[in-house]
Amino acid sequence: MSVTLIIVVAYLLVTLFLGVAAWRVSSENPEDYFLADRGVGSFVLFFTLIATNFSAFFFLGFSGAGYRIGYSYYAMMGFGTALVSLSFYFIGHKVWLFGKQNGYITPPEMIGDRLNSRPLKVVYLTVMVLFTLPYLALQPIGAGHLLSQLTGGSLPYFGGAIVLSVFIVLYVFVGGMRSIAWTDVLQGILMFALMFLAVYLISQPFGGITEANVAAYHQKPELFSADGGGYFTPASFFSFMLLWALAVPMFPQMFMRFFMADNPRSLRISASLYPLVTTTLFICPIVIGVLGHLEFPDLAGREADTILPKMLAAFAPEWLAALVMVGALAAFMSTMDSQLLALSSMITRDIYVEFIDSEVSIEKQVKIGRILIVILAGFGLAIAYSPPATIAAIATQAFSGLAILFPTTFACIYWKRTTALSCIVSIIIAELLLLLIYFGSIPTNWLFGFLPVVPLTLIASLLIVIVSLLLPDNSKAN
Amino acid sequence: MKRYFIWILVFGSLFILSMDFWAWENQDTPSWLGFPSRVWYFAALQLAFAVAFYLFARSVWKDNSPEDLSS
Repeated sequence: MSVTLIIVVAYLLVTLFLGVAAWRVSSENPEDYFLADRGVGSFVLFFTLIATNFSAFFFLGFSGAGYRIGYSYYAMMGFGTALVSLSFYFIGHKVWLFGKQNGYITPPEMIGDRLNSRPLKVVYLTVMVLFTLPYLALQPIGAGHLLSQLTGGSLPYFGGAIVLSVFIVLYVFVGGMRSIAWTDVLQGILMFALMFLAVYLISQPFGGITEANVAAYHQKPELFSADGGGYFTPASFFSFMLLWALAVPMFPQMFMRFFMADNPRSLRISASLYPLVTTTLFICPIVIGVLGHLEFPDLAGREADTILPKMLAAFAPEWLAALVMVGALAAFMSTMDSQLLALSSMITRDIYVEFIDSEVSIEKQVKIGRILIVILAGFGLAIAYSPPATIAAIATQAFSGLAILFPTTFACIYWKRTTALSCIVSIIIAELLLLLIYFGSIPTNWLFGFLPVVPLTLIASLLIVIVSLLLPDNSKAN
Repeated sequence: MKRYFIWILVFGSLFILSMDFWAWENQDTPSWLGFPSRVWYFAALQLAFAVAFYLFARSVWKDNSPEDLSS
């Protein structure tokens, strides 16, 4: 058995052990299974927030972007993601309060109940599920490629996707959110430590970080430019900054983490630490991408996303390279497990309990949630078996699609005159416009260089205000 | 709204500073540790944001309980 395989198997077993250990202290009710009994303290909450939000895109996508675009990607991504902590206050804190007061478990449950509207709940749920599913399917696809690469092809791509999915299903199935939160701590620490280690390892053969950067500058100076060699325009840079702050709290797996804090202090501490992570951690994969030009100057297109494993294979001993890539695997797993549980809880609570059997027992809700986790993982694998080209493209629209829910969420929380009808109109029209932009029916030059998220959240906000004022009803926010 | 005014000003200023379009025409060269100076500019902005957010959280973000919602 190769060193790499031993490290990967050891990591998977430790993850499984943590998941089972968490299950032993959990109880069989939906609050415990889906939200870890709303008892997650600041330490675990902080790591589960970062591990859930930073998917494999952070490991592989950031380094690929560093290779293609350069250091301007750090400027956009770092500050844009730091802004998310403001959402933790304006959205997260209120969500925690309402959840604690009314026992909400899923985001659509809260939004529907705030305006006493079943149709709004269904619309909100539909958007969350539709835009999370393709993103979920991307995880086994990426992990399959990664495990195959790690084992030198001895584990084929689809075999890797199956292995990863089975391990995730095992620990989420038994321990639910508590298992996810505990494994997220391990995965978050691994991501953190191994990313710094990777930068150190890769810069050493070039004489250290300073010399390596100078050499990269002489080879490709546009990687040091503010517009990323023409990638960014002022309008797109502005759009990206807004995109993260609006979209990240609308991911169901992130939204549900606001419910599970044991008290506001935990949420406050996690939010305060969040910008420090973006400052320090985000630069690492981008450095690796930039330095990648020194060894692999001719990667084109999506090949650039493999620059991190390529650089590790070139400059690190096998066991260290395997260890660092386990960090990437951790990033995949910590996102996919949370997506599975979030989707499972929403389908259980907002579809099964709401429309099929409202008298279903607490134990049966947990059982249904578990079955759904297996089905959803199977769905992800089915897509991973023969991934359609459009999946990646649809997943990239997930951020904009979910950001459109932000005005509705904000209005439900803060504006007493908000009506359910205005939110439904806002969501449906803005999502339809997004589809029209995606399929080219609306020319992109109508956006004046902005990403769709800017005009669409503006339109969604205006629709809520106009429809609420023109057509007031009795379903007011509390 | 009054209690938020100073914070709107602080966070708004930081956001405007992150839109550093005035510096886009300048060709950045390697500075400390070989990084372009814009990397340090944005690292400093994020640290300033982190400090501002910490102070904001301390002064505005109260540990209110669900019962406070009705008051």
